[in-house]
Amino acid sequence: MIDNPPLIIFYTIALTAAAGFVSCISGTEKYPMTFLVSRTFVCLAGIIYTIFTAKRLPLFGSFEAMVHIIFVMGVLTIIFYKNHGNPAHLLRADACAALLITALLQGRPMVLNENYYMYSNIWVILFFSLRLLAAGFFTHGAILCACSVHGGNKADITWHDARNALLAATCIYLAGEWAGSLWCLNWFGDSWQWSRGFFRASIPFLAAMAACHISGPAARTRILKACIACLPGICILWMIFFH
Amino acid sequence: MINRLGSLKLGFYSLVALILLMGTGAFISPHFKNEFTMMNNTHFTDVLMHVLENAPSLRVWIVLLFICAGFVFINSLCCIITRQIPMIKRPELKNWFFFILHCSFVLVLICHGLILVEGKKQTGIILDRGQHVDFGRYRIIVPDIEFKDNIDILRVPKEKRHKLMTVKNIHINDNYAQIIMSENSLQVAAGKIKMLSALRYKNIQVTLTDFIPDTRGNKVRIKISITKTRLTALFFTAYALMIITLAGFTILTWKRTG
Repeated sequence: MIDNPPLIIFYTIALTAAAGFVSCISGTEKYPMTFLVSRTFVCLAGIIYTIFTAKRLPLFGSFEAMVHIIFVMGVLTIIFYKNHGNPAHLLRADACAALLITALLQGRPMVLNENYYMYSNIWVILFFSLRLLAAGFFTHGAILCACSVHGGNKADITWHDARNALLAATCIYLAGEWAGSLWCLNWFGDSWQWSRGFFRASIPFLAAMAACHISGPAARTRILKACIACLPGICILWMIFFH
Repeated sequence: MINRLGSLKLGFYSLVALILLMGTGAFISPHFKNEFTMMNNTHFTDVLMHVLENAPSLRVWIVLLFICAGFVFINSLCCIITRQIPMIKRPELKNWFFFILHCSFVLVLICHGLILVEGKKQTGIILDRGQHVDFGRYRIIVPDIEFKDNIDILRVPKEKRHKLMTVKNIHINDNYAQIIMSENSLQVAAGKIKMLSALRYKNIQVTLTDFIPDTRGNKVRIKISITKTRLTALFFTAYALMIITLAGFTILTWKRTG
């Protein structure tokens, strides 16, 4: 009996992420990838479920945001892990991040959101969808930053990949914010508002900008540099899930 | 001096300060809900003078925010002069993308600032069928209002209303107000305004922000805001240019070198 499909999808994602993480620690090379692919397919199932049930793309809320973000993270890791300086590190960090997200969302209502009447508007759809896509890229960038700390002689390669993910994420995020500004213009007559939403939304972009301009003592320490570059990913996840 | 003002260090620390201030803004905004609402409804030149008279801490936050944004602006401008312009002398496409990216960012920042002080704004105007409002030399008349969905949804308190206003219950294209805009008794624009679909004439925008139900009966009034600014188009163009050049720069520098 399946009473609540989103809840089943959520636990399956958590389980595959946990299994992936455990297999990464145990040192086998074959299984982490299998679990990563399975986890990504489960997320895809969640996205398809949302599209068929709610008749729209995943937009926001714990369940919809989680499946979208972890799906993007998984796809990016699958595509880029072979070019990565240390693939085992990447797989482990990715599984750890997915596990952490699901653990933090434990107890949250896993349901689809109501179809608010504005969600059929193109700018609203773009705003939410691009924000979730950017969150996936930002999180992937943060994972790469974390990997660069233990990258050894391949740290520079990892750092460059992290920088690419961060720039791509910023680009997608800004495109979403651009659509959001149009939504605001059509709703209130202003392209932006003095509101909590706008203050929060500026933080991931500013954090990404700061990460691209790291200077002073922060630039000399690899750990501090990585921590600062992780901030956009952490900020956007905090913004989407916890604030 | 100009080198110092355009330094990476100043840019980084100004951005960190701005992040902290934005974070503070996100946390304090629920405590200053009324003040922020008034700030959105009032022209900014009046905000610091009157609206924030009773909120000194909010005034400090806004001043600090402007100082930090000012530093980011000066830093970007000086960086363009001292670093970016010499860079584009080398004929490489990525340098040009990098240069335009910074220029468009400065332009976006300017527009953000100027939108606050430039133009005119009248918000929260509630009109019934047949009523009008004057906006400078223009007159906005409402000959007709049509609300075809269940009016009781509009009577539900705002916090609970969100869940009821679904695609099934609210048909965005069926609910509208007919608007006529005239200048010196001469009609210059007319059309329907719906939620998320405003009427635009030159730099003026008439936006439908809400439907207001009568306490009794089935009558609905509209809540509109009228804004006039010359910067909206420039803001969105500069913003789009910034995104495009960032995308171009990212693609061109994607490959690892060395």
